[in-house]
Amino acid sequence: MYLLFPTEEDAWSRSEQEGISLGLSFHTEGKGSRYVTAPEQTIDGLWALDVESYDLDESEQATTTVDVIFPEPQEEE
Amino acid sequence: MPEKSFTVTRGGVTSTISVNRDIDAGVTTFTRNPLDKTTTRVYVTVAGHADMSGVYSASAIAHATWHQEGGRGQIAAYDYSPADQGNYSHWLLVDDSDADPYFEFFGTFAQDRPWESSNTGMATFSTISEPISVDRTASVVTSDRAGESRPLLSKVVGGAAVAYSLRDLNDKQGNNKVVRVRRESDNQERDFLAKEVSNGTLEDWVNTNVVSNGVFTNIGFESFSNASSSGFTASNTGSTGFAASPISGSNGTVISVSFDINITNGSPKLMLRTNLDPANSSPASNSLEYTSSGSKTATLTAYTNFVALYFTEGDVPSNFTVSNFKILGDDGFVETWYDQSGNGRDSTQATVARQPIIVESGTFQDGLKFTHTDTTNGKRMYVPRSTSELGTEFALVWVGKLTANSGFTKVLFGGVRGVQGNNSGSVGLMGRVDTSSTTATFRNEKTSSSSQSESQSNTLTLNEDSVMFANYDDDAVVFSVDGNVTTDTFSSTVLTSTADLRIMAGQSASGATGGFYRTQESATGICKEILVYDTNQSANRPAIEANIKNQYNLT
Repeated sequence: MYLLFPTEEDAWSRSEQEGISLGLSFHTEGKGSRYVTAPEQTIDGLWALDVESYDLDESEQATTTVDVIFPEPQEEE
Repeated sequence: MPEKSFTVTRGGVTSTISVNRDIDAGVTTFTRNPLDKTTTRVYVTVAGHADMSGVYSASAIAHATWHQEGGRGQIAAYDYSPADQGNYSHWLLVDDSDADPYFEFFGTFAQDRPWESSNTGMATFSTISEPISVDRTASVVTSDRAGESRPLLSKVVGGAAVAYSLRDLNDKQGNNKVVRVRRESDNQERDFLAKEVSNGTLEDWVNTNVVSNGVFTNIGFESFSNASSSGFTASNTGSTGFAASPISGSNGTVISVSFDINITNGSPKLMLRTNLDPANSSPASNSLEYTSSGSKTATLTAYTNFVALYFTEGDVPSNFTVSNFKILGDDGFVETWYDQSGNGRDSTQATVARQPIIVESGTFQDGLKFTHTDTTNGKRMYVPRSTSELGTEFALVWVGKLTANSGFTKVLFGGVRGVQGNNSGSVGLMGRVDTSSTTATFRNEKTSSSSQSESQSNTLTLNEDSVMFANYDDDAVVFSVDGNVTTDTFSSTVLTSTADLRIMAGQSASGATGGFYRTQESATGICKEILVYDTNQSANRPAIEANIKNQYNLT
């Protein structure tokens, strides 16, 4: 289950926000774990963030999607 | 380890030298402390004149002129007079290029070093810590001497560019930190010394929050038997039934359980509750429904405080048996694998979903466990070192095991992607274990479509530890898996990739960590040790392998 963001920075920001709410070490001790999940760019240029474990608000819940396609790198052998 | 101080008398002058005894991969910091009559170099901070701040040096004589190293600053004893003739030392701090600043301060005659004056004005003096690199490279020891244990790896051969392990490569007592671990249940993190990994402290810490459950009791089932803390048999035909087990915890607690369930009728549900009495309780966690028999694992996340775990009948009629029920231990994940080479090249993973596993369901994995479930959450670690930084003579060492069969050759360590659409200019170690054969490979990806490699067949074994060693010396390759050595000569090797080396992850690359990670080329298994040398280690290979084999009981 993903949330889609227009920029990578926006996606990292949402991941960090979740990290803050979980009390990850970076946000309590200044070092260590900072983000919950990492965004990946989709084939249409958006940034998909896996939010399966996130505590989503209503508007976010309404905009999650599972239909995400990631680009495949060239493979020739 | 605390500092050790030594008193040194030299030329009739006594001074104290403090030695930081932290053993950190061959680099020990010696600090002259405090400033004294033997000091010949001192750090001076000049307020408001950054260009004047820096190291000043002079010979160790009274009232010397101190010159800024690499600058135009001077601190000169402009005038001085003994005790019976005025008793003063008159110091000038001046930029001799433009006389700005031009500052004077005074001390007594005996205060013949500038920092000894009681008021040095705009100048602040401090000691210089001088890192002294101790070359630990010793004669290669290929066998134990009688009655002696095998030496630490750093004593066998030093000078690694990167060194990761859960054992201490530098201190036999294991007093160096080797890993930083995040505990899944509450996201607390802690650094661990090597001895704390081996003596169970790490595993115990990860399981700190694990609670146990009590005997299941019947509330409402018409029939209830064989009750214990590990299960029960329950049935009813028309009423609501609860099998309640005492267990307590707070909001946010994550509890993982495993059990076998045999369902004749009904669709039992599992959840945490706020009270042992169902009439006064409400759900305290997610609820999981079971409609088929089998071995199950479940994770319950509390959203409020709880005191009970319930199985309910789900619907009626209901007839089911739960057995082998147990609370699973916690999980621990690696946030940092500390570099023991002394070069500070720690491998970090700040995104929790991608952190490799070190304790799973309460059990230490004896290494870093990498799984690759999907593109976004596959486990991966990066080394802040690229192929292009290895030079033309280098060696790579990987210790670990593959734990899954696959028809694909997977990246164990390095910068390679492992399949065409290569990461141009990279090198790496790869492995494949499938049902009919195994392959171990040292690979150079020359261009996006061209590669060269040295491979061995059937030297890897599923679920068995191996040590893989590759030495490269201007196209000459020595490749070894558990001591089975083959050689090769590469041609027109390309070593230009600036992508970070990866541990158990296959990824094309653009930049340090970018590019496409793929589960298909990423190795599932456990990594125990990574060594990178940016020097030729072919002569030291037997000693390195002997040390590792002894440590991990490899044959």
